[in-house]
Amino acid sequence: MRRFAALIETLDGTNKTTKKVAALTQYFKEAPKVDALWAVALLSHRRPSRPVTTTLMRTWAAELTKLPEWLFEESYHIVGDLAETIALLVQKEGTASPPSLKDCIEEIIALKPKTEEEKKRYILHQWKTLSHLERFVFNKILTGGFRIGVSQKLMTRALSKAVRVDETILAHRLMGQWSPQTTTFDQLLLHPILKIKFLSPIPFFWHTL
Amino acid sequence: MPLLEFTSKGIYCKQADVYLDPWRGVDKALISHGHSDHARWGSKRYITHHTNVPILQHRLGKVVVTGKKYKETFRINGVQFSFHPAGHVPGSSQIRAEYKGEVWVFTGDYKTQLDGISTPYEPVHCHTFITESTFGLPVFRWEDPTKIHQQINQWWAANQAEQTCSLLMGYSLGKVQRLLKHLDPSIGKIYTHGATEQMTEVLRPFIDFPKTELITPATSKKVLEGNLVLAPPAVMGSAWMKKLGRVSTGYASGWMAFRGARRRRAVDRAFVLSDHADWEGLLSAIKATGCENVITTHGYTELFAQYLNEHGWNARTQKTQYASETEEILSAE
Ligand SMILES: [Zn+2]
Repeated sequence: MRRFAALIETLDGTNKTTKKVAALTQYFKEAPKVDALWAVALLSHRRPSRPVTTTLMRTWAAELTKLPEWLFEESYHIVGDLAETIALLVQKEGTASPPSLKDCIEEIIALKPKTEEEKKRYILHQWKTLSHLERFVFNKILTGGFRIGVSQKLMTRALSKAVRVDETILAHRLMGQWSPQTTTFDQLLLHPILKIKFLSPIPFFWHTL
Repeated sequence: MPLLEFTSKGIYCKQADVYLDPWRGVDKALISHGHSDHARWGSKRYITHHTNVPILQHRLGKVVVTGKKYKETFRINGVQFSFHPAGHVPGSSQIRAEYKGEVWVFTGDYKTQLDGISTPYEPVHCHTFITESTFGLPVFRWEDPTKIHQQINQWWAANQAEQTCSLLMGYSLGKVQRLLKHLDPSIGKIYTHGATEQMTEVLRPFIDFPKTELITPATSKKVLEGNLVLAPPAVMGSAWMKKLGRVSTGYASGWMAFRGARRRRAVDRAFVLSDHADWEGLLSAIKATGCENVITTHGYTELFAQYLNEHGWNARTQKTQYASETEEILSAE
């Protein structure tokens, strides 16, 4: 989570394509493969379906920050982005060891069938223990819609540099329906023959944007 | 009749016949600080803190200006006035006015964080507090500035390693000197744009700064490699900037707190560093004054006043012609 959040910050902070590709390549090389696979999924617009409504998130955030709801709403209106508004308003420093990207997303997926009270407890706990940047990324995963100026093509180029597989071959392997829950980094990108077997009737928690 | 009232020329004390930071020329003006939206041209006499005297002379040319010390009291037709540290930029003052036991304080601009160059903000007891509220929204909460200065030096060192020039931009009065004060001169040389150099020169008698060198047409791209250039934000994308060669651009402002604002600025690095109080700073300042009445003058005035009204103060907004930081940037010299 920390590494991925840092990646998002770097991607967000530059307009230069070369810097974006370099940051992505480095991430794909250095991150644990299970996390890197989730990163590929998120950056190719495959996200877990939303476990809570944004209305609930707004209510909980106002409650946690002890702000009147009107002021929370005005702040949201001015910032223009819910994930960022909550990240800014919840003033917590974060802990030394945030969950890994894989664990975090799997927890979010597991949240879907739970009760509202359980969802609230989990989300508030994350808000209180993540750093500003991690909280922003967590909220973005929760609400979907990661727009950080990285096209599928750009990501594929970086991935190609990291795993040394031709870009067009990789682009093909990334097409279609796949989920990090049913495949691995190696199976998807390096030994794709196995991928077909995993397109099984396992309940699918993914939306393609 | 209120001790201070808002007129078409600015904040007016009728009893003393003086204006506070007027936006039109008047006979006698008390000035909170040297920023161009507070210290305007055209008045016959100016009274301000000592440090602001050379700043006003630099900005306004030949003006009649008297300097006062912090907390030094002076009377004008029975009204007692004094300047108190506002912590916004060097010389910045809150203006206190007292008449027949009633006390009003006008903040000008202020911040409660320490910046290493301005006399730290001091709360002043009053009945009515006229406050700025540039960042009067709870989404604005500043980080420890020492962390930001560390980030800036790290950014510079990383550029230095790539032989790239670091162009660090900030408002000419206050911000740029605050940046300069905390730069690590062991990384490289510090160059300046003309506007930056001049204002820094004005402040050198009061504050100890690292050495700087003015960029001239004779300055080559080669000597700038790996070094740092301080300049006002208006140079972004200009012909002047293109002459610097390969640069990494950095910009320090409170407005950089939002992702959208960072993107619109399109700089390589944005540093969230403000000379205005953040949400907590504003609230703690208001509490410390012990005031009953609050008048918010610029920034998120309506929302901030509404919040204060819900929390036990008698608050209202007042339209003024003071700019918030963004507008200062657009009109940066
Ligand atoms: Zn100012």
